[in-house]
Amino acid sequence: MKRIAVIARYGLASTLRSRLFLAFLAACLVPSVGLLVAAYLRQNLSIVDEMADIAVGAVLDLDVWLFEAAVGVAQVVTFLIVLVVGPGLVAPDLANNAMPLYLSRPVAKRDYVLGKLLVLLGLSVAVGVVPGLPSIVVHAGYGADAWGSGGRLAFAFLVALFAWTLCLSLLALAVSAWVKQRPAATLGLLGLYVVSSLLGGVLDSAFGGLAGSLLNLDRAVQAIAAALSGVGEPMMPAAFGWGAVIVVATLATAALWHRIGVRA
Amino acid sequence: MSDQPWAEFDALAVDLGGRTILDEVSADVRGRCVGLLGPNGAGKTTLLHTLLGFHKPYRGCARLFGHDIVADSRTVRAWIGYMPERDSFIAGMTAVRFVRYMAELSGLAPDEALERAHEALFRVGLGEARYRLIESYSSGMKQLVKLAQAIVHGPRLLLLDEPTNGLDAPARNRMLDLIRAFVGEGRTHVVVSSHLLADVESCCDEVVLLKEGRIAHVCDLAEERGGNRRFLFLSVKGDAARFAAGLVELGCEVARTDNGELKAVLPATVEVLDLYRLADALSVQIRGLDHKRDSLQDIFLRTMADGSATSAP
Repeated sequence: MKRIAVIARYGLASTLRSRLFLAFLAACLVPSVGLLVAAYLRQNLSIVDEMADIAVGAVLDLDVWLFEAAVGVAQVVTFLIVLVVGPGLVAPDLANNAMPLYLSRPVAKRDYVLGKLLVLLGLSVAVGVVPGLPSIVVHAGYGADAWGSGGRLAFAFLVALFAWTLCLSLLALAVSAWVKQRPAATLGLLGLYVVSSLLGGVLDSAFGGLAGSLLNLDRAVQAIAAALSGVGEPMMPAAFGWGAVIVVATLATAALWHRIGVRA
Repeated sequence: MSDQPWAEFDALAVDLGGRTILDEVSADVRGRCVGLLGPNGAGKTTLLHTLLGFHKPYRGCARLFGHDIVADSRTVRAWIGYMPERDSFIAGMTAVRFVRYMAELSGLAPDEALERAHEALFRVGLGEARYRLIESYSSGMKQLVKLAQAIVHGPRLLLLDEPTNGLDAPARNRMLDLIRAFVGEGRTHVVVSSHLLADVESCCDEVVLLKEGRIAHVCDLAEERGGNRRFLFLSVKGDAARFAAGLVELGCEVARTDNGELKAVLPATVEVLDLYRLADALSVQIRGLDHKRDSLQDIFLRTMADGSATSAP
């Protein structure tokens, strides 16, 4: 555990050294603040209606939209964070033959992977997921069953986004472990996302049903969020969503595990 | 050399990619500084990697300081400092940060790790350059920073894989001086894996020769060098043929070299003084008498020329 914390601490420190990256993290918070404002306005629309005398309420019917938007925003932000940070964690170590230095110490492959994963999960959850919670909680707080519905929405939001972040992080580490070069890993991860989405669209068009949806991890996560929260219409059954998440996470872990180590 | 072996190999066998790299490796190692020698592909690096737990033996076992390298892998690795053969570093870090990171991974607290990182870098001669990024270092400096990260946590065993690789003559001498200094302090056992015989000869007191994945020979260098003290080169003035015949009568094995010198192996019952008595009796002058000294190169070549490798006791 101590070694995992050391690896995570050094990884985080290296990541946060760049001022540009800090500015990027700050920018990542903007959409969540926007959602918070939207949630507040939704509950005070009568005031807005009176002041502006326009039918804003029809436009800002946020009950369903707000939750889905919060999930969507968090997905995009965490994807961007993983895309920027992920390739810089493992690829340089492998490119510079640093694995023997880690593994010749009392550090297991598992410790190394968990340490690096902790950096991605920590940053993504802190900047991409947690800031989305207040808008959901504030929105639910105005309802009759504030604690009940707010708690359920928050739980669904956290679980679905954690699954999303975990899958993305593992994919980012696996891709960067295979290509070993940071820019190539960034492009690879982006390409993997775009190609799988396009392929999903093609399969959807060709065969219909769920075949294509299973290749869209973001849809799988949205289905999980919808099933857990009871808000919105999921595009696939939650079981399929969980299945897609588990398959992606398992494949990414296996690919990563295969590359982390010392070659003969 | 210590009576108790600190490394024990018992029929160790390692397979990589379906190919047997190490086979029936058995030996007890006692030396303070041990040279691991062998031609390319003999299994030197694989042996080091197996000690570090990178490869699992499929048969046999090995113990370091009495601990099994597989069952007590973490404990064993905490005692080891390893300097890999190839360039190995973490990009984007200054040397002091890199060495501190490695020290913390070895179990040192952050403050102590920082202090030891500075000490290690000064020790290897990188004190003035310790705040530079490692990727800006020359090859020689990268070798030294690898050594610094290997010694920073005060290991009981230092594994150096081709430590003089890519170094120019002054840097090579400096590296060998550092190794000799560690050995001289007596706190650390050192294993130097190298294909450079001169490097090993200059700092090691024991040599393990690997051939085709097996230990072909384990020798105490000083003992080995002295083992042929009864092998003499003689140059004589006078009737060399009669003198040679006299030597044979004394029980010596004798041969003549191309340049007229005599090579003689003395039996245990014959001393050098007996040769002078024989020369006096035959009115021959012994103008030169030299003990043959086996260099490590002799030992190496002889071992490699032997048939199949065998497990050393």
